[in-house]
Amino acid sequence: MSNLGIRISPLALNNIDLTDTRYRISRQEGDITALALSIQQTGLTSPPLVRPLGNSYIVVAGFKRINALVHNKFTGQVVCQINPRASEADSAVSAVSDNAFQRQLTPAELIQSVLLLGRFMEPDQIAQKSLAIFNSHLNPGYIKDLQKIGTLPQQALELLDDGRLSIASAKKISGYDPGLAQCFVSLFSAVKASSSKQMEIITHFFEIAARENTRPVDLYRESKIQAILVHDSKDLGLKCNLLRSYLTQRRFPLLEKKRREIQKNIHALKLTSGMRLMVPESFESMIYSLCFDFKNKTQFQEQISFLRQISQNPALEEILNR
Amino acid sequence: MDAHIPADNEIQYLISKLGLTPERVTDSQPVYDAVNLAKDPISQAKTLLYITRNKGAVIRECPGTSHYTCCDYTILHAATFCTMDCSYCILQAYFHPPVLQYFAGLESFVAPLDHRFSQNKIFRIGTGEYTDSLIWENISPAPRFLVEKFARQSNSLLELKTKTINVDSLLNLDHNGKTVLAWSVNTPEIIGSEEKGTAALAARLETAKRCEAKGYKLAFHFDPMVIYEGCEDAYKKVVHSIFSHVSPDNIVWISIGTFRFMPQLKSVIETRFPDSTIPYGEFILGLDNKMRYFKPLRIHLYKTLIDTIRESAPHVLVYFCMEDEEVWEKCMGFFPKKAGELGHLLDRSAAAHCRLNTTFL
Repeated sequence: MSNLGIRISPLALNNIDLTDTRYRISRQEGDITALALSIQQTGLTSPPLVRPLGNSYIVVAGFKRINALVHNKFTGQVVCQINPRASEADSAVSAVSDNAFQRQLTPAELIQSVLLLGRFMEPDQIAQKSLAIFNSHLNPGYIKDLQKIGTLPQQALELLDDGRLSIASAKKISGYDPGLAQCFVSLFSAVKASSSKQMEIITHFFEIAARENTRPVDLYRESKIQAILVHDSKDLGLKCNLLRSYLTQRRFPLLEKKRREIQKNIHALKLTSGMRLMVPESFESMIYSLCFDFKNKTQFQEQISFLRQISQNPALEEILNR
Repeated sequence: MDAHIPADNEIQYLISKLGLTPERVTDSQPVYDAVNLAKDPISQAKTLLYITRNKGAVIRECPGTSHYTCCDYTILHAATFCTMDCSYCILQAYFHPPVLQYFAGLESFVAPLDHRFSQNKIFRIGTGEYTDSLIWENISPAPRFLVEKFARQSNSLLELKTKTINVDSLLNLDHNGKTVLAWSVNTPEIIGSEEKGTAALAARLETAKRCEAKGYKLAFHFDPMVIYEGCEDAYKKVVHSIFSHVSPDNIVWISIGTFRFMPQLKSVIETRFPDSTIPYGEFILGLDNKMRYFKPLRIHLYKTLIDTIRESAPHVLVYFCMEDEEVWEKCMGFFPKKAGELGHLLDRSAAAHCRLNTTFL
């Protein structure tokens, strides 16, 4: 690609077709008030890039700038960069690099970019040119993953940008059939989970389904899970905790039952403040630990006396007999 | 085949049985490449035999695992990997890369074995740790060589552990009672779903019966036991089936152990055996960093199996492979706490059944 053919010319704003968004990589949403105000006060300092199509022009880069002009009710001529000789592939590269060299692309923009470039290049070619296009090296495997993620519903890309769906989880979900992928996208719209918790939730769905000889999609539709997802609480973190707790109990029924029993028995001991009883992790080891705080000999003796008392407590017996 | 290996009788026998012309390589890299570059290296490794020399120790102590009681076994390193394809096989994740290797040179066994045979202690030596002992029986003279070698000493037992029925070349040997033929057993459901390419349970037990008739002592390994709905009854039936084929008097030991695995094996199973559900039991991370069934589940299944064995064979030595004090106490009523105590129990059974020199106990 060459920029030798680029010229800068004023174009009538109404001669730019804003409905053709084939080169758009950013989300349409977003507040452009500040940008519109800035253009109003200082003018358009960076001309948008357009290319001719038929009798009008389409935007390659600068959708927000032109939308800001529309927002300002501007109707005159706008100075644009025009490259009449640029191919569609050249324009795709320009659309991406114009954004990528100004700021870090969001996950959704990155995905839209590789989808756009993928119409003209193989992942290996994109990878080879990635430094010049993306301002960073991308490997072919990662590009393929992003393209696969790009097949997920639009909602998934929004979740990615909002930090509620990790690339790793999105990659995993994108490998499933569209119905199931949609279920997970809906699920992660309803909860807020870290990347590792997202993976845990996905894994639990599959493992529970395998254990119970059902399908993950049927599990998702179960009323108990739906009740958590549509829970009244607006706290998405709370809903995530409820969901994880339910899934863990279902995935490890006996282990979780035992944990609850032991916890109940520990409560029954009514340990003094500053005293902590630690049971073996997953009840595999036979070693328990007990810690207590004391400031002086009197307190020490009180704690020892309390320990003597609880040594007769049946709840302790229950804990130790497991 | 390693280019440096001479075409002696052993190699000619091996090649004639395989019916293939070996490709000679001067180093192992082309073999590793052929495995590593395959789409499924593990499956590829099962189809590619590398005949080479054992460049490491021929005899090793079993590595065991921390925090769980080991039986102090001795491993004769005769080959690696396996042609059968069990979903749970640890060798899939143990070797990097997995390579089906046959260690040529029967003479390499002689000095290390003679060294053991000359010591005043009992050894239980097996070839089934890094491979199946008898997948090699119909192509290699090594199993026969070892049976005859062990027949001429009195302090060591050879255990050949297998899931095959490959015993024909061993049946008429003068084994002098020093070889134990051992079968890994499982329920027909698990054999059918998880042990691809292995012999059916009935075939294994029929073969055990043939071996017993030829004077061989036997062992059985319920390992890995898999927990699934109805597994208790299924394992009970396996026990009954064993004792309907062979006499408890000829069983040197029965080991039991539930499925446990290095965490990295899970993804291997999921990728290579997508229909398998065995990684989805109630596993916890054990003290040795291996995944193990939640302990009460293990104990429950062990008790069921032990009670069933005891009904038919109260005197057969049953032991756990890699379990801890709590499991031993709750299931067996005792725990071999001292270092070497479990090994000593096994040595006594070995000596009694295989007529080893009891003064070494």
